[in-house]
Amino acid sequence: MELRSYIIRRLLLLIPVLFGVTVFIFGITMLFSPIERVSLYVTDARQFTNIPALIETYGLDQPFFVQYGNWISQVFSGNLGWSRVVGMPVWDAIWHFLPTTLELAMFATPIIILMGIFLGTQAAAHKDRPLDHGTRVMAIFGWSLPTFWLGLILLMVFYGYFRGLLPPSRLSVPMELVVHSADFIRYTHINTIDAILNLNGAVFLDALRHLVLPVITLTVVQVAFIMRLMRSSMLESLGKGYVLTARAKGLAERVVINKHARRNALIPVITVGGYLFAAMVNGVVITETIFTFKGIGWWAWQAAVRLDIASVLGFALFNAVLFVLVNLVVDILYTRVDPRVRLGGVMQ
Amino acid sequence: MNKRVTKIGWIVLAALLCLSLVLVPGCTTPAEPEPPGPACSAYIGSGQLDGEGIPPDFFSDLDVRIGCCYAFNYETYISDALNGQGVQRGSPVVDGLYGYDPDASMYRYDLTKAEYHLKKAWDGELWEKGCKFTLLYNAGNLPRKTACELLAEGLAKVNAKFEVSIQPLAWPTILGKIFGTRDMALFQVGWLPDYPHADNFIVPFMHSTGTFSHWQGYGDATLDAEIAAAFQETNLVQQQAMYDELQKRYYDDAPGIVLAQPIVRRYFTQHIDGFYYNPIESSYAGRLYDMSKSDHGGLVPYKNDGIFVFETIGDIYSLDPAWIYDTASGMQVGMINEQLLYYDREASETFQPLLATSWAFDAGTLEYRFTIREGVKFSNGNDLTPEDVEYTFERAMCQDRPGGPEWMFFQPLLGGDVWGYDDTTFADIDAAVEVDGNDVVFTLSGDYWQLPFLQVLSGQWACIVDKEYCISIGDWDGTEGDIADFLHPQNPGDIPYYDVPIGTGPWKLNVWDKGIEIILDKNDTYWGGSVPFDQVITKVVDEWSSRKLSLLAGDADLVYVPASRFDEMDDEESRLQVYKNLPSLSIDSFFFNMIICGPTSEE
Repeated sequence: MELRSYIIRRLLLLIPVLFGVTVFIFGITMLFSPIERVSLYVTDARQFTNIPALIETYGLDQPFFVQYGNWISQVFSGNLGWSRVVGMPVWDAIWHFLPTTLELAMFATPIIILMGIFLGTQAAAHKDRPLDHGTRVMAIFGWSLPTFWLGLILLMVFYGYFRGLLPPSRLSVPMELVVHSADFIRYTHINTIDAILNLNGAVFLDALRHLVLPVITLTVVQVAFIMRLMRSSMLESLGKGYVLTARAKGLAERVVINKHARRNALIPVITVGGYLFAAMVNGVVITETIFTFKGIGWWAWQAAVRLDIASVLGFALFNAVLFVLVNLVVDILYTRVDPRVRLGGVMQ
Repeated sequence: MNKRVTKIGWIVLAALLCLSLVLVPGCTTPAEPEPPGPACSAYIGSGQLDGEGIPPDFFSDLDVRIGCCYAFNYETYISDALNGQGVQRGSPVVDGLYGYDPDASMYRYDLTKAEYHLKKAWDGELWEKGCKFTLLYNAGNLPRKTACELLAEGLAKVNAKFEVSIQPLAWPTILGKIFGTRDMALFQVGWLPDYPHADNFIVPFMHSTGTFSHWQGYGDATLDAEIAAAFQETNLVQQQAMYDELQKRYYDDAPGIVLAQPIVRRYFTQHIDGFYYNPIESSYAGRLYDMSKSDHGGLVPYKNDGIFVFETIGDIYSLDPAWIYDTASGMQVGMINEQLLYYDREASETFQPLLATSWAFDAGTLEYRFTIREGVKFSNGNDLTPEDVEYTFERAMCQDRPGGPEWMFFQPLLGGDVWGYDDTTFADIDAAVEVDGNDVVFTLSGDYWQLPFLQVLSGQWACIVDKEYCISIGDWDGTEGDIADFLHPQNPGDIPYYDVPIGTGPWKLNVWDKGIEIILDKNDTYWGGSVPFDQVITKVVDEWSSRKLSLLAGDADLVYVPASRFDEMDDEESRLQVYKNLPSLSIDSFFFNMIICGPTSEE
């Protein structure tokens, strides 16, 4: 099958996916009574008297199909609704919070994947020896740590004990004022990239300083995922005939492992790596909350907790599109890593 | 493409659709009101007085209510639930409000008296058979949970046959039960004032249409008349006596268990000077214009010279004075825009001039005349004119967003029956606020509004906006024909002004990074003289540990400290500047639902 028609087919699949997801989410939120859903609009005890009026204004007592119809016709006119929890249109909110999460994912994903591949390879190469056991125990230990606990401990040590060494949030106050000043152009709203584009070293270093703790937290917790996968995939490769051949013809063990076995063991890691990135981009709620690194995960979490349905639906749409795209990219990447794979399911 | 994967995808999708269609029918029709009787509520057991439940009108018996009031351990509640940070009150009218009666009688924890009243209740039947019901509280609210436990414990001590269980539910669900299905036996809610006047608490708690009393089935025409009479009394001594009487009435009728008036604290770094506490002030930080920052040494490092950094929780929804009705947004609006007058430091009944230099009330014509300060400029360079003031109030009333604060303008200006734009006409609104030379004249609906109206004008909703600027950004143009586009907006963003405010205040908006932070810059042309901070930064930080560490590291000058963290902060007290024993103008209270499963809001 041609690459282009493959891509088009996969993108067309988005339409039923998006429809299904939104109907489903809308259906679930309808299980809440209008008064439960109006609590989003009641920001203050003093508004309790206005509850019936608010329900009427926002049409919360309308039948399901009317409410869904209103929403979908709004979407077709290019308006995803209003995100109450952050006070801006949903469409703007996605673009407002995405850069923060991207910045986090941009730094954390490569570190996690490279570390995972390295540790996994080492563990497999030294199977059942102390190095293997050591890495596995460490990885499982990290994997089992609750994110909020690890995050808080890191914060208390590196921000509390070493007064102010590695602070939470994205930038310190003076740098924030620089970033928001007229001289600093925010091209991407990803602070590190903007700092480079503006040739501002101070902002760049400050942004990096604020990234250290959240990235460490994510790495410690997630690295086991990739590492274990890499290890088992590597073990499988090491048992294959071509590895035996390579060893038999007298290649150095380093070359056998790094070139022959590892390349072949990478395919499952690419799949998972793609999902890992997608999972990070759609939000790492706890890390974002503890370090006040407010990204799209924090926003979606706030929206869900407070029944901000327009935001939840907008987030779901974003997520569905993201996953379909990541899937597509991963599929295309397969063909690059392994020339035997052909799109369309024909294995040669 | 892998055919099998596609197939599975379609199956999952179809399953999702089917599932949602199954869910949908239950939602297309609003839930049928369930028939009254044994099954009308899951929280009153059998629904009868047979020892296995309570009848829906259980709490309509005065002795049941008084018995419960005596069975509640107030001291333990204050020490356990509020960490000692509270004072018991006899009625919803708390200390600090105009009309408060310091000698109001209140119930004490007294199981003997509880027993006496509960034995009398329901002609002794209750005592003999016992009862069962469930108390609900919103999950995560520990003080409310403790209150439920104390009431259950007290009742069980009086008579082992009184079995009260406790169950947490999400806040929206609780809200739905109080103001919708009405199937709770008791509910617990807090209240805070719009303006510091007894009427602002008595109406929601005691009027037959009140926010709470209506939903618990309390109040009648006679009581409504007494409430109106007290509010409308112009002899202040007489008025105080009438309010004392109403507070006693609340005690006698015991429609609820008034818990306690919370006491709050503020934790600043030692580098901040000039804080004073006015409980009605909506800014958690106090009035920043009267404060300053300089290096006082000490254990917390001095950082961010000239910048006030405040880390808090609570979102900012809009910066439009006509929209805001919550303290977080109100704090920002109060720094960017200004009112005609404001409370004089800690006072709640005397005022300092801001944009008005003087004011006078004529009881004969009901005219309130405000002389507007001359030479004041908005931060965009426009002059403040009396027309701006007229426009501000008319704009608010012609916007009248659902759930907004505008009723506080309609009531004093257009009369007790007028709660919103739909109850009146543009001509009447127009006539209520008029420009006369350099004065603005408000015509009140009654002379008794003389004090409360000034309190209303001190709220953030009464901040003055720039007419010329508003019109230039596409806001309401001041004519009747343009109202339709601005009336009853659904979302803050429907109003162009909402995130680009211009005011006369000491600070002006630099950036509002929504959901994250708001940075205000000094207004260099401020009429009132030098402004203490070059920047005021308010960050929304949900994580408590992060806020605490910021304060101790000097990265924040003030953080929001919830009452449950006061104990934890005691260890840090030596490093910080702590203001204690600040009474808040709010009250948490139990309400007895006297008509469980009463008519729902749809009816």
